[in-house]
Amino acid sequence: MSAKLMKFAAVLTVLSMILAGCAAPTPAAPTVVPTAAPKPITLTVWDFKSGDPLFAPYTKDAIKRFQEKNPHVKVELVPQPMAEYYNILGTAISANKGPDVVLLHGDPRLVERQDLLLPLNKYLGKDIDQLAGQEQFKNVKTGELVGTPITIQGSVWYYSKKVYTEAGLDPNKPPKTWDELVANCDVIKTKTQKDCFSIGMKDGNGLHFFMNILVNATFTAQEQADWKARKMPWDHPKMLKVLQMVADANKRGWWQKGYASATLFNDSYDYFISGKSAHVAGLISDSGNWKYLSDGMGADNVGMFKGVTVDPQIAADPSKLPTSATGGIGWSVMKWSPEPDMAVKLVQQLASPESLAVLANSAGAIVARKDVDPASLTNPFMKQIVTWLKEPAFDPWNSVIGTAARNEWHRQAPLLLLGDTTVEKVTAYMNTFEFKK
Amino acid sequence: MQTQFPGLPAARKPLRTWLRMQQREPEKLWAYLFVAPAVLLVLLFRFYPMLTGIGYSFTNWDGINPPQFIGLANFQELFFKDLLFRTSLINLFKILLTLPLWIFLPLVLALLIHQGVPGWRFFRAAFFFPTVLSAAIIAAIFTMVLRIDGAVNLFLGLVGIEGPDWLGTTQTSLPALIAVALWGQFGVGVVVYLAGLATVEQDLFDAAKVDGANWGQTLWYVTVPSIQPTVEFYTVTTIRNLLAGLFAFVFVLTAGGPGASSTLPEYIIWLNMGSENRLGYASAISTILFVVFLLIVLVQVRLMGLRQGGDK
Repeated sequence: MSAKLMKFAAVLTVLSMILAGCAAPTPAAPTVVPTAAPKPITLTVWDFKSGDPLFAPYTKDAIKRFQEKNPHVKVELVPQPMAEYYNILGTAISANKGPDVVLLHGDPRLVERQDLLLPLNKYLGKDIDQLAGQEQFKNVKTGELVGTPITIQGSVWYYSKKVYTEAGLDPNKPPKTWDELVANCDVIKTKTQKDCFSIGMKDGNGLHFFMNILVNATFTAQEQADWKARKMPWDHPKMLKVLQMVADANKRGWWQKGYASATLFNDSYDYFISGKSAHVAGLISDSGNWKYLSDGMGADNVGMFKGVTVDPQIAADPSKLPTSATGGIGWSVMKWSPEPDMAVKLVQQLASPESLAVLANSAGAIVARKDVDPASLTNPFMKQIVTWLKEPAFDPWNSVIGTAARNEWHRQAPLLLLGDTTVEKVTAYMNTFEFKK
Repeated sequence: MQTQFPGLPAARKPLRTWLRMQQREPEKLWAYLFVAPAVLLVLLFRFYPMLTGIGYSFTNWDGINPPQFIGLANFQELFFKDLLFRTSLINLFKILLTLPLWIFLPLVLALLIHQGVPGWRFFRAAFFFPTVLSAAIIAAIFTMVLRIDGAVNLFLGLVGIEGPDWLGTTQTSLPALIAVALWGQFGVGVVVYLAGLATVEQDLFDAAKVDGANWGQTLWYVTVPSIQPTVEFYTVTTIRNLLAGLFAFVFVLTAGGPGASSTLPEYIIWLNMGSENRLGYASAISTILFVVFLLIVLVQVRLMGLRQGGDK
């Protein structure tokens, strides 16, 4: 009996649901149709910088300005950790959905994803002429701009004037040659027991900015072009020379203890700020730069230099060294965005002169816009960097390597410093890995 | 000729006959209906992704372009060309060698608690505490603790030992990772074993006492055989954990380094499906891990079956 009752109840429920669904709709009373309000939109933005207190004011400003102009649009900013950003982005790519707007480096990491990025030329119009560092943000197949650069980035070395003074060295005279650097480091180690350089090798990238300077002091222009085009093998004599200098520095004990488990951002910089090392290899713009260091240890204690000469035929004086600089980071719109027009408007705001001026002020960024005049900022570091950027520049050594080879180099570089491999072995291995020789 | 309906009870009978049987025993139909949602969920969220993953492992899918079938090329590259993957297998093997520690450390601690050592209530709570923390948080804590200037080296310094950079040398990074993961997870084993020990009849221990057995003899001849099913269950789950449950520790503690000294297959899956855009390749690694685990479980089940047959 109870089974029959249950069946009856189930049939009744299903019937009533069907009848409700089939019921004729109640006719609506005629009304005057109001002007359609724009439908609410949510744009999701991923980046790897907004967690940085120096960078956050810029994104906050840009989003605020954008939302004032577009009140029906909500912007959700999701900062991701830098070390895993591209891995996380990869998971979104595999699902073919994710953020509308992404921050990308202007290097192979953008090129490898260029087919997923919305071409921006038709949206930007004449504003495109104001963007500096565009080359690194183009689709290499079509030549279209697929990202708006917001910074120019490059490598410099910084030194602690305080440590130099403690060591009895002239705090206003950084070393000019490699030999002078070696001599200074010997003095610093002997007199202060402090480390020569602080690096961070946990993610394997801690040698990049150190090597960028040495490459600029060693490679000819043609060799730089060959390296960028990935035509130069890892065991080229010039590359071996640079790596031998790294090995020499390693043998001399230049790095701080625990460098292999320290991060480049920001363990190495914090170590330098704490006055425990004399030099650190850093950047010119918005991260690991003079602003971050000055805020931590006082601008008066921070010295900045372009590097040291190695080959007199490349440069006999450090002031003649080529600059390490390229389009840094920029914003792109993903093709899968359901609101591409609005996403482009957000990107335009993020790359606008007024918002980038905030970035220049808050993070000491060298912004990638010709109509934001960094010379208007009186900071001596900025002025010096702007002067250097007027000189011939090469893409930083590390920025032109593809992702797979870069990841492998990140594994090999710590082994080189730990003595688990040699320069000859690691270059031979990287040749096989990258070029399958 | 009778039509076959695979998967249906009394599969040789035609559908109409089967349905008539359900009408005579309606409770069976209701049983199928009640388990159907759970079965559907398992099929949808476990089996379907697993099968599609296995399918992708035979393609060159990069997440951007449509996948193209490439046969066994991914597997050939993994086993014959990819030094990183082979290194990660060696690391995995080293971790599996520590399996006895993972199995028997919680057992010893559970036995001590079960026997009521002084402070056993405190120890029971303390041992379980790490399991309420996520692996990422545990790893973040130990990243600080194991630094060259961290707490461990500080204490070692007090007794005149200069500790290494635990996470920054190729010799110590993997052992340090294993130790941290063990710390984070052994509490689960203690709880599992305590539950198993609670099912052992007290009469057995009394009888052993009467027979004059000491602590060690009681442990070996009474306790361990009595909780053997629990040990076997925990061994299977621990192996699964070691094969595919240490990602967070690798990710936070060492990023697989220095070099590849603490890289595990699941971390390579992460790199390939993420920054390197090689989802087909990552799927191939997942498939291999799945097959390895399946083989281990089949061997385990076979041994358990032999043991039960021997007991009879």
